[in-house]
Amino acid sequence: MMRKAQLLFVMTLAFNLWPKPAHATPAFARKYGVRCTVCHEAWPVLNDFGRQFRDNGYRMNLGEDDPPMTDPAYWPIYALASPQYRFDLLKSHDNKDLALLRSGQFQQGTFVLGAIGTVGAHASYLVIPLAVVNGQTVGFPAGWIRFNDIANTPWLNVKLGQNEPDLPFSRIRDLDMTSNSLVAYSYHTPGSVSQFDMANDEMGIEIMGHNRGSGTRYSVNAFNVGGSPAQNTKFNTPGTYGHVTHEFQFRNGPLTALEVGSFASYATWPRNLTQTPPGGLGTDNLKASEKYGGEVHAWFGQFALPIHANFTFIQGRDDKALVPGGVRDGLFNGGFAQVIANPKLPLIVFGRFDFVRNRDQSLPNASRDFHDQTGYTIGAKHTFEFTTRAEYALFVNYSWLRVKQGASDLTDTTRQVLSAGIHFAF
Amino acid sequence: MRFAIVVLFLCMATRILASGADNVGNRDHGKIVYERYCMTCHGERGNGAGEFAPYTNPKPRDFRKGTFKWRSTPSGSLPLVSDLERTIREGVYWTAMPSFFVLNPRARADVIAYLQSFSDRWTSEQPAPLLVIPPEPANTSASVQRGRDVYEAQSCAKCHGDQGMGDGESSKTLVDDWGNPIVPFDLTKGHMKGGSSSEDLYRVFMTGLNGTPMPSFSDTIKPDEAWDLVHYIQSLNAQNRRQK
Repeated sequence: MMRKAQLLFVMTLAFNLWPKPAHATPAFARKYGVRCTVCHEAWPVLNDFGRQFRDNGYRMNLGEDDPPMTDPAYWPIYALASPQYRFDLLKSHDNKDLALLRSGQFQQGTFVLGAIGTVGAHASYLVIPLAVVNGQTVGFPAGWIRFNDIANTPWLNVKLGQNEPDLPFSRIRDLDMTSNSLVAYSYHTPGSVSQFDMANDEMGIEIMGHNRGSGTRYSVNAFNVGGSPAQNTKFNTPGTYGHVTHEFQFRNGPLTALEVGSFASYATWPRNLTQTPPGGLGTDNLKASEKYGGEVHAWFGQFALPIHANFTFIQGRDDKALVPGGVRDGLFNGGFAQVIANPKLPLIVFGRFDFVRNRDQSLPNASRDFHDQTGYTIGAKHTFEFTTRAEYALFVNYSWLRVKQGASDLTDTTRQVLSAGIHFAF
Repeated sequence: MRFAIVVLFLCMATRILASGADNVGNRDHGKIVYERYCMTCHGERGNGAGEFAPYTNPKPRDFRKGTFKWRSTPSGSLPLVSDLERTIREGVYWTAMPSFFVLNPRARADVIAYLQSFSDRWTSEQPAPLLVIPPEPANTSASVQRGRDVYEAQSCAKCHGDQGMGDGESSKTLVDDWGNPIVPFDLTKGHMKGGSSSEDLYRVFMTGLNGTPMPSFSDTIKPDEAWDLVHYIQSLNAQNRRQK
């Protein structure tokens, strides 16, 4: 821990000494003539303006959103890429010399080609026909159409398609490129067959609403759980998610804004895939995993250069029927605490603590701390160019994740990931 | 190492506390707000020549003259801080100027303090007294008709056209104070740029839009005539909505 604090300190100092100028989905930057800094604390983390813009269906609502109002030369196409060097080291925690995995290589990172915009005054869309994640091509990872301000109120918007739920802290908008943190979103009690991941893009419907400025917001999702058998062919493994938030702004004092929220998810999964209908994949065979919790966000300091602290707590439960041999429902607590600091406009540094603590194990002979997880992540990103057309930035991330009894011999494992590369978008 | 960590946290705490010490108008903080939100249009030096300015119409305001359109003060005067605050908070409809409603009020005050630094007028002059807006009389058909008479008598149609659609005989030749072509507003579009309330319209007639060819009529029409004109302009909008 002390060593990590040292590293954070040195990185903070080093990056503060660097020169100037961070970014946005460049399609919007081009359409509205704004810098990425208008909507993002640092790309891809949204600030209040960006969240309001997103909640409005990616509209400024000043008469210039309709396609007929935009310059014919404008195309709502954008691309993102993050080529990087990545080093993975998975070790036995107790035997420092035993490396279970060691690899270092240059990777494509994430490449996304998409289109986003409005198809009318009250309809918005996102289509990502192609994404490549470390060489693996993912077809249509996201796509939706959203009907905005139904009945002329921002309190009723309906989105249809595949999209990320409104999380306490978005995973697709995470600064961390190591994919070794925010573990509580996807965690299940040890032995559970459910693969539901609360942060995944899900195929379904979202109803959301907000007041002016998005200080108060709600969202409700109903979807077919991604990855489940026969997914997307029918509503055979339903799930729901809901989230409410409220933000307070302060004119005086060190605290600029405070947001509180709570959320819950309920996702089903077939407990036995070998059964055949009618008893097989029917509702009798569906069992649920649940997650619920709350979050607090606090922004300190200057509004335009905030220090953003966030604590998210999640409690999860998996039905014992989802765990072969399970004798009781599995129960765990988890979450993360993080600080994102923006000391200069082009620079962002962040640190995160992840945790999962099991309370009730479903497996009969598992110790209480079996598969408990503890993680630390730090990172920095420095943007060298941000305009209304494009941006590029250098990022460095390091994460460390310990899993209790994670190895096959029931010893603890630690996974360390270092990734460094260039992010660019146009 | 412990010393280093303590220093790090002290630095962060100092920054946090320092930022909270100012109630309004911290120019240094305003510079950061300006760089984050405003610079691409209004330019690094406040000259209205940011990188996106060539693609906007109308052009972003050049702050160096201290001349502002949306005021509650007489023509030629500096605006009140509350006028600038309103423009930043509400945005300007039909233009590239978005609403910054979500900005913390402190941030808006900070950026106003910063943009005031672009013009010496803010140190040598004080804004003139606030325009007094009398109570609005009833919006009747007679008032609308009288407003039409005022519209004709003041030659509004010369720029805004006989039907208020911004297509008057002078419409293609107008330029702003910086020589940029500018088109008269189509009064039938619905939303007005500076706000659509009766008071917003009244204010525009009586203060003018400095830096544009739109003059103040405070010396040529009386308050009740201005209200009649407001009602006539509102009737153009209503007609347009009915036709749609």
